[in-house]
Amino acid sequence: MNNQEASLKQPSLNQAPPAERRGFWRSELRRLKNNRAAYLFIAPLALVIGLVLLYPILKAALMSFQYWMVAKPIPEGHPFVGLDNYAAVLDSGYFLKSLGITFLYILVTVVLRFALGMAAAVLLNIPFKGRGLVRALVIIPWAIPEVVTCLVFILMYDYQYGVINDLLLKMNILSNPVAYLGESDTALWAAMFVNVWKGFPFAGIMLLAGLQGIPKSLYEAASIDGASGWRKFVSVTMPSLKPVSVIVFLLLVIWTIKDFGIVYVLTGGGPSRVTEILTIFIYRAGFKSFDFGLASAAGMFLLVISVVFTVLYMKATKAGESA
Amino acid sequence: MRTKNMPLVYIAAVLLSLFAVAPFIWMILTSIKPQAEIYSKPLSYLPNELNLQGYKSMLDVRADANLNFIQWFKNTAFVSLLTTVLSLVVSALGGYAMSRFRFRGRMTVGYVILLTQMLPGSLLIIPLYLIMKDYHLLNSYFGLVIAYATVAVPFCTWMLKGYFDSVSTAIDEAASIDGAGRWTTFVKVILPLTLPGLVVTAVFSFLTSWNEFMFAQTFITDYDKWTLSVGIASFQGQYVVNWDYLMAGSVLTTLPIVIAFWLLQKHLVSGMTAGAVK
Repeated sequence: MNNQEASLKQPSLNQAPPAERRGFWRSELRRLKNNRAAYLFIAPLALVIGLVLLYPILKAALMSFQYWMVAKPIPEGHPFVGLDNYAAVLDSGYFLKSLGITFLYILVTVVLRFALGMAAAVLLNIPFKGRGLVRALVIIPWAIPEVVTCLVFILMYDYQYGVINDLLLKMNILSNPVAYLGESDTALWAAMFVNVWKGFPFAGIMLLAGLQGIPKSLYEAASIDGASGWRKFVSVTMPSLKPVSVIVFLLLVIWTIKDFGIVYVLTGGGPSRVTEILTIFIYRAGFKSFDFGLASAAGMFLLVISVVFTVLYMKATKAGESA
Repeated sequence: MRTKNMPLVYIAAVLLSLFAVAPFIWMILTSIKPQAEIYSKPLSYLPNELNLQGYKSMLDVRADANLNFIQWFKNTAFVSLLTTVLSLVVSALGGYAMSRFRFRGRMTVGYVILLTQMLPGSLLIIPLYLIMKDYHLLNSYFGLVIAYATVAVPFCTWMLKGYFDSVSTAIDEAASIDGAGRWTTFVKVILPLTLPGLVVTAVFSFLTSWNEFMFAQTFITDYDKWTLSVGIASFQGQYVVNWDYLMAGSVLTTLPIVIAFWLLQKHLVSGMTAGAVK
């Protein structure tokens, strides 16, 4: 925008009559003064962003090309090693596995949170007695701290004294108790369940806001045309909700890429690394194996994935604005 | 059409509510059950006897050498408060500039903020760790505040820019005609008008810091400098888990947040949806 203004104004400098030129200089001066205020207002933010975000990211990028085995220091310090760290990441065997686990984790939890959130939103959009109470209750999982959530679920998942085994045994769904977080067949799914439980209220509330924004006249028109409840949902609700849905969906994906606490507290990435999502892979490479170079290289892969989805999100929100 | 399906609606509402609150209820029930009942077979769901030992140990400093709940509570409150205040100052200034001024690099700042908001913390944690080691900020509250700022500042800026955008620029112009400078306009006119937005943003930033786990667990090694998340997570790794203690600690950690959520429910929800859906 500014570039445009500048390029529009520059040529007029030579041709403008004197009176107008004075006006131009005055406006230019005002703009400068205005901009000075702008830069003063933005300076602390720029400083903080630069120091605590951009600088560390650039440092990580640099480290991904350097030798950083902290446990095995060499006299040269941290020499450049080219793409060695990236090769080590891809060779480790666990990285690709971890990537697969991450994608499965994102796919399953995002779809389930979205579906459950949608069900909650549709329900809470119907006027009924006690709706306010139900809405307040549904928000609870969102409000509970991550670590606390994990601890409660560790207790409920317990092999011997867990309430989940107790209930499923009583209902004859299981014949033997299961150590949900301890067995490699179930651990990832158990972690996903916790994520879905904790995350569905957010999706629900965002979608509810979207639902409430749909004009009532659309439903009335559909009723006049004799549409059934389901038909209205498909022909009116779903298309109207599309912009919000895309945004909620992308936000869920972006936040799930960042996920660390839930899985880390529940399983620590185990048993036998079956729940090792990418963030845990990086954390372990850094703070368990103390190979900061390897961790940074793996981090660059994570960076690329989040940038891709963030760009998609930016495009989606822009589209939402113009619509 | 609605009356016909009403019983179905109520059944769904009850099921959904149960699903949402069951773990929360289980946490409270376990926190007041005697240990014998927690480990009983068959499992007793409701406590037959009341046991407040867990709460007593949490709130009494001398009860157990392995926990220092009050200290952790204070640490967490201090770090969260400092993060919130500092982030809010920086973000309010920056957000106002983003909303009101057209300056070179405005779009770039906007993109950087949105991008950094989406960045995984596990990417930042290694460089931040090394930087903090160099500046002796490991194991200090101030270092933790800096780490939390990486999350809070982009988030608050984005939220506050949205709130400033919702105030008409005609108000700025009117103030400027009355002779108010940019600074006076911002402090005396715009900030009071966006006070609800500032409160919502502050609460969100506070809660995020209150709940944070990864940075705190990596950067703080001294046991009495831990935050609540790290403290209560540490019980779980011990060979004997006292679930009544653990759940009492969990309830006390959660209570301030659930109360804050309920009190501010309407504003939080509208703030969140406005920030992200708009």
